[in-house]
Amino acid sequence: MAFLQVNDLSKSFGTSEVLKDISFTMEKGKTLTIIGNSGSGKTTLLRILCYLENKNNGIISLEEKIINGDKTLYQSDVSENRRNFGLVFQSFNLFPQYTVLENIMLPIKLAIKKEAHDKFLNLPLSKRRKARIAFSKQRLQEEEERIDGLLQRMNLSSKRNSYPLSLSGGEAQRTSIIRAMGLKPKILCFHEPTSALDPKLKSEVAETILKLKEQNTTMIVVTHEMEFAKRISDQVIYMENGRIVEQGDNSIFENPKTNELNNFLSMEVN
Amino acid sequence: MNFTDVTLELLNGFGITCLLFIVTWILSIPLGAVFCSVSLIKNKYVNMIMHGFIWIIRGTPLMLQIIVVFYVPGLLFNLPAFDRMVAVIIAIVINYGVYFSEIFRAGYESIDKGQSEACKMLGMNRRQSFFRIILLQVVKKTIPPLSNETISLVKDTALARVIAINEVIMAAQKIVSTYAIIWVLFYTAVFYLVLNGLLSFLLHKLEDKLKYFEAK
Repeated sequence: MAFLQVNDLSKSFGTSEVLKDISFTMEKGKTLTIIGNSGSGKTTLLRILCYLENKNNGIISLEEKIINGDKTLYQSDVSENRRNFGLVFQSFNLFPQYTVLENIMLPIKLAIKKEAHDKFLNLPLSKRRKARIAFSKQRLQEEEERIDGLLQRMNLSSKRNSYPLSLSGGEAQRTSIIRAMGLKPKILCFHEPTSALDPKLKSEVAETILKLKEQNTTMIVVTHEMEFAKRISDQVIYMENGRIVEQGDNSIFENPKTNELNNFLSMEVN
Repeated sequence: MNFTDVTLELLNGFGITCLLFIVTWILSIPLGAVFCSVSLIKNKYVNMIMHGFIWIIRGTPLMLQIIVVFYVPGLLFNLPAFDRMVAVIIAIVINYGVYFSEIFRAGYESIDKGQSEACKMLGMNRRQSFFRIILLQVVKKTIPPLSNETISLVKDTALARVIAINEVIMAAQKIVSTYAIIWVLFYTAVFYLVLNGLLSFLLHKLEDKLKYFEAK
């Protein structure tokens, strides 16, 4: 059964139709890359998956449960469903006033606070506060240990107390990845992770994503860089003018079936 | 009248200047935040009313607004006049509230949309994203224009003399007209320069304190 399933997704901005009948499935633990020229609709598709944009039509299901269908979603549903997706933004969007560790821990702390609040609502008022504090303390300790491990694995331990202003592009990127992974999303999404990075950093980002692949992280990567896409993809979607023109496994880079993808790949080579 | 007498007399007036400044500054900042929130409401009618209000307040002299607040309730509606100090405070607070609101609005709108989107993706609600992420960045962005307005506010308190409030310039004018010594008027500049120097120093310190990050 498909882990993520998208059926007949469409989106228009005014009269301009930017996504038309998008349908695809992806398996758990795989890496899906969405490739295509600028304006092909790949960014809008990713933004709809992450609830940063509303769709016009279509159904999105995760683990066989509809998470974005015909029903109007309340803000609370959106917040809940959005937690399935972690997003590493193109420009990282780190919070500049917080250190690396604070950037990562702040959303975790807020989530723990909410979890503690909801968990003990049934307790009598006199016991509630104590229970919440004890629970939060324990959860926070667990999370700090997990984040410590991630910082070490991503070679960021020495930067934990640095502010985003003093980070290199690669360090900011890795901080953004850990921050997105902090809330344990089911799917980790990357928006143009290599754009505006020099070749050395591009290779570094690819290594990071390959490391995540080894740990069976389910990932969706939007990119227009073919060499990078070839290295990381299990599954590929090629988009043009808001439509999926071709999709398949990594072999479509070598043997494209459509002229459009063939032309796109040859343009990239040239 | 010797130098010490003049200084003591001017210090009395300067006390009122300082009081006016502190009260109006403390009240106009939150009022500016309120006006800013109203300006950001996406409603055609609210926006029209707000634009009209801003147009009137920015388009007329503060001196006239002080006179209106002090005299109009009595003249038009036969209501008891405000206390002079209260009238000046109301006029200045509304006037500067509008200017501050425009500064806050520009600061808020200049924050990269990506910051709010990152907050959404990280499970924060609107309140958390504003108070924990956006607000400090807006503060950082608005300190330089806010410093300018703060210094203007100190100088604009001198307009209070239009309804006979004995602030430092009026105190000096009284001495000039009674004792015919003109240097007293120029001497008031020292008081303004000291207060504005101190404020510039403090605001600069705050700016320095926030230099560790770059607002997006």
